[in-house]
Amino acid sequence: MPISIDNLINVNFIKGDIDLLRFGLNLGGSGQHKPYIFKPEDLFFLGEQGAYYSPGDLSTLFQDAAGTTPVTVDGDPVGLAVDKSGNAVNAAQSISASRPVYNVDPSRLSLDKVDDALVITVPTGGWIGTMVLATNQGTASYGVSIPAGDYNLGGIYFPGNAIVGVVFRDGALSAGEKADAESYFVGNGAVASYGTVVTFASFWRLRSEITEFPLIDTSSGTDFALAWRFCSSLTSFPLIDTSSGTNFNRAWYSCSSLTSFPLIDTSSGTNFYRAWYNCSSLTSFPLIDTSSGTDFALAWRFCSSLTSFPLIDTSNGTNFSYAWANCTSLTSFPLIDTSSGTNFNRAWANCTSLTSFPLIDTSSGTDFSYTWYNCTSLTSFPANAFNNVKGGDFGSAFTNTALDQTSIDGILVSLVTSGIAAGTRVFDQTGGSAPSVATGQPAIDTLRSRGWTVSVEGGY
Amino acid sequence: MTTEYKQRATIASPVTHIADANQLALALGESAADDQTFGAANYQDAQGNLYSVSSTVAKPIFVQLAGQPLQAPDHAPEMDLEAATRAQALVQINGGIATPDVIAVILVDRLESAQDHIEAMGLSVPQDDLYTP
Repeated sequence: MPISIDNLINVNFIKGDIDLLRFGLNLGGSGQHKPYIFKPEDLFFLGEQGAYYSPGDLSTLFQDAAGTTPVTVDGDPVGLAVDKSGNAVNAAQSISASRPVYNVDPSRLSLDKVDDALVITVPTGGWIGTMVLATNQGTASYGVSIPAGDYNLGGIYFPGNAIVGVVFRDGALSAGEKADAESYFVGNGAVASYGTVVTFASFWRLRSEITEFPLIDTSSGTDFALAWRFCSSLTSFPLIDTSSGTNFNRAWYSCSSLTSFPLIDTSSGTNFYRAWYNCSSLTSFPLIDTSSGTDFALAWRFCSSLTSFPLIDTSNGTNFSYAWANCTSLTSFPLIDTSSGTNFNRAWANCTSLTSFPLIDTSSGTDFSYTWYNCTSLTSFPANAFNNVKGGDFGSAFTNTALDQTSIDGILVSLVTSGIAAGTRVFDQTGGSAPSVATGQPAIDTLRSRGWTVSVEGGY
Repeated sequence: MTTEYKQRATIASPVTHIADANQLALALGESAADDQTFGAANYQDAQGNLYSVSSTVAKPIFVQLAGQPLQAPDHAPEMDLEAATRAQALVQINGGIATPDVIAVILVDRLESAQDHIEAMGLSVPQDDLYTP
């Protein structure tokens, strides 16, 4: 049966692509084929839900939320941006001081990144689809899931200082549609790439609506502090260029839905403080280059789904406080280089699935308080682990563990070998086996003679 | 034609004066919702004192209004004038760093950055708490 033009149109409608619109517009020409010129309104051609705001169209901007006083010149505040999608989902701000400012060249809504934001009341059902956000610092398309209710466009954290255009579309845009929309906004003055941005600090912070993050150019970025903090809907993360990054402080903090993480270039990174804190769905972690890292405090705390950990280079790390605390699914731990580490406070506390521990270099360590606290499955611990430690704070270091007698004996003998007889001299162990009469108890006697306060299972 | 909003005002209200500062914002502002101008105290000074900060473009008349006897505006006839007047007495324009006993205001050309104002006031967003998003 021959395919009629109606059938062809129906097929294309089901595809939901603006190719049909292009096709139809070309068919509708009067003998002359005019090139199709994309407009963001076309993304709503079939009645799709969403919203589109265009500061370039002055007729859509008003100074007050009620829409009585039009924006007319550069510098006017914007209390209302009318939706151009046809869905009448306007963006408004009723608090005078929180209105963005209209600026020209390019036309944009400037944000003070203190309190400026337009409030969008997302209709019942919410929007699950794509946000194309074009700013004065970069343009990108994100997968989003925005629930019904008030949504703030702007605020203290934002990936740019001004909005050149933004589209929210319920139903994901195709790659071509994203490219068209981005190109359109760039043509209106938005900056295409984030490639010149150096500081990404807090750019996407608290953007829990983002479900898919694009592969943007971050090659100039040095500061990624808090960049994706609380992006709690991200399940994966692209292989962005972080080769210039030095500061990853809290970068992916509480990205609690991430199940995997790419092998990004972190070779210049020095600060990994809380970088992946509470990424509680990560089941594995790549062998990233952390050779320049000095601060690993709380870096992987509460990564409670990690079952193993790679042999990363931590040779310059000094602070490991809480680094792997509450990684409750870790069953083993690699022989990482901790030779520069001074602070091991609670580093592996509450790693309740660890059964053994490697002979790491503790020679620079001064603080081991609570280090293996509540490692309730830890039965085997290597001998000679503390022969060269510099400090004697082992308060609650082995409280509520399951050490066998050989292990607790070895730990005590190793502390004797360290020769520490000054400063803080505290050692605690509960759970597991008591020290042996032949080896452990004499070691305790020696430690006490050197001023140590020793508390062990069995009460000796 | 140029905008009437020729200045930028960045205002830091100490946490203990937020309610009064919101009444002052209501009196000087343009909307009945201006009693929500100062929200959570998200900034702190070097001593750890907390502040709510707002920044906005302003008309030149703002500085005159801020210094004269207050009246309830048409958009908020039932506002608390006593509270607004208490806040008005604490306003210190371009007086330097924020302190807990004043409502510090930096009022300058509209093209200046609110972020620079906050830094000039000696304020920053605390980052080291575990639970702040």
